[in-house]
Amino acid sequence: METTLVTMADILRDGRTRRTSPLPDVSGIRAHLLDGIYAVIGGRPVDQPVVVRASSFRQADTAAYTPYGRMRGALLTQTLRLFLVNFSSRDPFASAVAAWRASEGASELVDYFDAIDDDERARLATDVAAHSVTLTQRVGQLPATWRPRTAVRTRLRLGGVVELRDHVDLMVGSVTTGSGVAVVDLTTSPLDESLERALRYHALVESLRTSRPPTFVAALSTASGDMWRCEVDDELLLRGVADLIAVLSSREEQQ
Amino acid sequence: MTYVQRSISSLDLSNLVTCEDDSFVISDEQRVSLATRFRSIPTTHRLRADAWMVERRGNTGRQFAWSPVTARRTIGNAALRRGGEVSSLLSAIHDVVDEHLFRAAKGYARHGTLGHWLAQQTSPVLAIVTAEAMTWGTTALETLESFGTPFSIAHSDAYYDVAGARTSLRGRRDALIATKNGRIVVRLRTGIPSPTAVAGLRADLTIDAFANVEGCAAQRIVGVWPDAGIALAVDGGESVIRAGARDLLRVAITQFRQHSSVAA
Repeated sequence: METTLVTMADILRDGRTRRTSPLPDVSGIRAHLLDGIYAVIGGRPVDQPVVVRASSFRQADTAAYTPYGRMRGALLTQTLRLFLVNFSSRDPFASAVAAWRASEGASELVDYFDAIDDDERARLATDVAAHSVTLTQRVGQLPATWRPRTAVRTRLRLGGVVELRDHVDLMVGSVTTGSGVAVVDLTTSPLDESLERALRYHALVESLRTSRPPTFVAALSTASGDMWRCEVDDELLLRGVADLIAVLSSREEQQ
Repeated sequence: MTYVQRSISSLDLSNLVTCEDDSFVISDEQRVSLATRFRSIPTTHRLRADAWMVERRGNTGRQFAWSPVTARRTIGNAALRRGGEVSSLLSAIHDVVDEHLFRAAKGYARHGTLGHWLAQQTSPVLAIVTAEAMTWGTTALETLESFGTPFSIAHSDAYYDVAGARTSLRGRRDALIATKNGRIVVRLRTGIPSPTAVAGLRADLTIDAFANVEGCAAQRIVGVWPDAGIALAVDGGESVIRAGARDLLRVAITQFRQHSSVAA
């Protein structure tokens, strides 16, 4: 784990040349996960699969998970998407809102946005503008050959009882070439331990989806400009499985 | 093999394109028989049927509306077709969007078309359409490269107008893979496969076969759900084509009944 002040493009480029550990064995990880799910849920039938998201691993009191924080996060995600297609605007807030409305359609969060008063909207606008500056400075120029794609969604069913959903802000690289894939999580809150769990979850879900683990998972905080990069190895994926089983166990205890 | 489910790993996908069977060819009698059955539906409206309607058993739910998500496949595939002509996928997507806007500005885009919708959008929305198409195009490229064999992006979806029956069939296809004895059709889907996903693939395969001038069916259709990491493959034998045609006929009948009940 390392903290650096260079751009995300720099740390991903640097990481490609430094990878040392061999690619993890996904079939073993999958089997380990299925055993864990069986130990928690057993063979009992379920009406609806238990849905797990990356947000299931974030601390409940993290500012990013208040409606205000979620709106800010959603708008920053749109800003990232606009930035990566070379769209620039003098009013990043207005552009992000227009893009968000078009891509999200009707949702609870959009309704919440429509209901906030002018003061709160002005506060959100300055907040988004400030985070946008950090974002555009820290992402850097991603070469077209890296195949950057944004808002990548995943829905995996495991054993018919658990559904893993994920939304990755930015993914670069290719599963069919040697350098592999890097998964990047954008957050508007400071980097903390709960984000590490979310990163492990991203790595686990991507590994299960393609049967080939990503090379790296990384995070960028637009609150502080800090960035993390973690190499995906067996240990990271096993810890991701343990995190997931812990979430399922706590859900079972609550029922 | 008639139907299989696999993961989207390179190994599994490359196994799905090894196909030794000969292609099934629809005879003129079978084509006439299909037309006769569709003509027996006494509709006064134009009927349309596709795999999506088959999967929803004729109940299409909400009306189609353009959005960045619904526009991404059309724009993303058009950009992929220009693969060798531009320096990057992003440049190709910008070119495709510009062409749609140019057609709309010239007055060539009909109401309800993608070009007409794009022309009404603000620049941030056009940029998010570009971002969606970029994600679609890259995911499509990643998936198609995992097959480990040359492929071509389909020039268009397959359309088949049933003679004298006021019925249009539309089969979606994203890429084609040429094999020794024929072709394999690839469809890319989002989300997770529904319980009726195989019926949808069967319908696409059937329409693709009828749209072929010689009635030559694809050896196989492979539906890939990259979000779910799942690939489903359906072989193009006679029984599959017959079942696909029956499903499409049922959709047309359901649509006719819906129109009739609204009119009453």
